[in-house]
Amino acid sequence: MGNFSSIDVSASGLFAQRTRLDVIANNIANATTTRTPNGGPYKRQDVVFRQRLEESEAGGNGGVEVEAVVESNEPAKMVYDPGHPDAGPDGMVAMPNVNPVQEMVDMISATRAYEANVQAINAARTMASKALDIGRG
Amino acid sequence: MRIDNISIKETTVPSLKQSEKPVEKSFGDTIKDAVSKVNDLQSGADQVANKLASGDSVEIHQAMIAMQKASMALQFTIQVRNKVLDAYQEIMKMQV
Repeated sequence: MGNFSSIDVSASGLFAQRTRLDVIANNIANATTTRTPNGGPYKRQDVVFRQRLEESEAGGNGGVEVEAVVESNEPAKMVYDPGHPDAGPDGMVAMPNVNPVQEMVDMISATRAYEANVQAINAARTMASKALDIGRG
Repeated sequence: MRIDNISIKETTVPSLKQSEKPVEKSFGDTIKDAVSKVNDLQSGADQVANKLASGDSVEIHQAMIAMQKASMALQFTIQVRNKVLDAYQEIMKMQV
């Protein structure tokens, strides 16, 4: 149904922003993680979106989907903390390159984008229910 | 003054008989299809809500959207039913 295609598009946006928030939450949770399976400190992750092509008969733009979750290449923050178990011989510890302030700003952005998609869904719903009012009364 | 009979040539009148349409779905089939689609949406919403309640990895918005879709489809069905009933009432009100 044509009415539902815009809702599906917005739903893909909701899913994308949820994924983004998951990644941000992971960054914040690992803001001080110094040990990872690959060795070295945790690296900040970022999510990359891609336009989804519509394969159904509806045509047009089919929303968004997650292309990949990539790791940041920024160098690790070096902090002087000789008591830390992972400190080097010079007393420096490689801490994750996560900037909490930036994560908070990204979180606001993800929340607002999510709200915008919800608004779009509500608009589509309102249009559909208004269309049902045609000829009533 | 002489008035001729009105003669209608066959070619001028669009013949109703020729418009034999290919086999179309009857009204009942159309209604049946629509109702079954609505039913699919309803049961889909039911499934998603169940999954959400039982802790499966279903997003909340998926459940809400499925329920909204089902609700909208049901509203549409109700409107169609109202229209059909109105037409029926109009016919029944006819003076015989």
